Amino acid sequence: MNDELNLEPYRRAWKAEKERQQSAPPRHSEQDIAAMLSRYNATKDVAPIQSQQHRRTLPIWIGSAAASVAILVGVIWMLWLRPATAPTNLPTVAELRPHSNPSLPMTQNNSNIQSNPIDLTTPPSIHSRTRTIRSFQEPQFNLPSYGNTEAYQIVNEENHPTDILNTEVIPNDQPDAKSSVQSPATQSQLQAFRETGITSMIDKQKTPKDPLVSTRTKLDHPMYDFPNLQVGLSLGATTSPSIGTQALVGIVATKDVKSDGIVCANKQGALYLYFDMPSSATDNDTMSVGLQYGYGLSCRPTESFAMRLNMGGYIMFGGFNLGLRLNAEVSYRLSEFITLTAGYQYYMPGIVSGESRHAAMLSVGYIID
Amino acid sequence: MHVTNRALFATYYWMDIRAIKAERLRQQQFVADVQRCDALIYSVCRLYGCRRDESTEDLYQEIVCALWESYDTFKGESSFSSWLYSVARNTAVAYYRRHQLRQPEISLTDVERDFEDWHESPDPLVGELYYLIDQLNVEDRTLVGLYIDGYDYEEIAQQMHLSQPAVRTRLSRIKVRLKEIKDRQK
Repeated sequence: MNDELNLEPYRRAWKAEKERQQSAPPRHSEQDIAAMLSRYNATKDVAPIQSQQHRRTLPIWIGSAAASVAILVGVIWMLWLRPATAPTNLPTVAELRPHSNPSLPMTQNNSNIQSNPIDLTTPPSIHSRTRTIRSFQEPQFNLPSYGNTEAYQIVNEENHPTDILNTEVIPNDQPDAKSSVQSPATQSQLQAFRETGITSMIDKQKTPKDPLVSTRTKLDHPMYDFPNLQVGLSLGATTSPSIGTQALVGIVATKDVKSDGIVCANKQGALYLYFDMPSSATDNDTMSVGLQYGYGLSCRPTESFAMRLNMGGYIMFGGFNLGLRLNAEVSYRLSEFITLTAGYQYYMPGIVSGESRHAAMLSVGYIID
Repeated sequence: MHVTNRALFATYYWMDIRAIKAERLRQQQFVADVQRCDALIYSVCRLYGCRRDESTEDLYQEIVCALWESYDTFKGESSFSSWLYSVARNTAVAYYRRHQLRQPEISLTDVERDFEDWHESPDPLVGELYYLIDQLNVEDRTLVGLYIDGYDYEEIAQQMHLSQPAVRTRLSRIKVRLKEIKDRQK
């Protein structure tokens, strides 16, 4: 026992010292302690207290599930549920053009066209018409005895579709046969024929030598050629002072309102998911959901290039906020159905969180119309 | 439907604003409570070997942040200072282990001088106690710290997840060792 140090005196002294210290003025003010919390938030990957208040977070699995479902729906829609397209064996312009294949004489009928008659009495659907125009493939008509080349020539000469239908045409490869369309066309037939787009080839003031070239020239108008409605899958990142960098995934629908000029109005709606990244100021595996809608102007100087400026509102959940956002983007058409868009967004300070936010994104769009 | 959405939005916004205000009040309350226990946090810092240098401020800040992180768990079943002391001690132990705060070459004179810098009217026994504790490893520090804080064997056993006989045996060995250190100092 004597070999042990008696701690009782120390215990009493310690107790007295604690009491003395507790009655002494504190070494740190409340501002010091609040500053410590702020420093800690900045260095320990935790959002500042004020920011945490604004971020009503959702579990990460909700965001992952929502993103997965959105992507799945998009894929299913693109692969199976999208509007019916024109038959894939439509002849190309080159095939339709009588001079394109030197091996074929001018009078030879195109068997490919003949083998795919379309009932003229049934108006073509909007989608199939749109597809035909966009792909520069001429529509087919239910004129079994017609060679398409002949038909175009007649259109240009007669300048009215009624004349076509009432004209007796001898097929190129069957000089003895007569056309199966000999009765006067009904109004529905005429309307259907006009809707095929052929009427747009007719130019009374300036009849071109080659009607196909004329058609192409007509379609070069940007509003006809560039997509008017597209849905894109967008990937990007946002940054803001308190939250830091977040990844974003979203679906964006863009519609350009048709006009006669290069500049037209546009509408844009989007659903974005914002995910925390390792570099985020908060590393709590949180996400936000943002909805946007806005109006703006599009400039489409060529058939494959477009610039858009769009201003609208955003609302965010999971860190609720509401405000205005400005979107600027350039879009380039990669192929018949695909566009590539690079955009920048500026989120103005909202009514809850008074800090602005910047975002950059890259979208791959699918052309619907 | 439209009206429902507007009502939902208004409700959500209203709830969010209320939550923000409540959170601000909560933070202000926390800062005031911590400041009241400022000396207690310093004593824990000192108990775990921090000298009057940057490490003390680092540990102090780490304790404050740990307290803020676990502030939700404080239900008021014990006094705030007791809860704070418990969290501060655990944080200090983790900090000590992470940074290996060992100062074996410090003499009693150094400790007393250091102590005088910290306190305006130091009790010599407290200064000596700090010196003795500085010679112990982190587990023994914790045990001695709990003992001189007035905890009985049962409470120490609960806090350190040991049996009571183990606490008694260990504390007895520590006392022997402290006696040796004190004798050597003389």
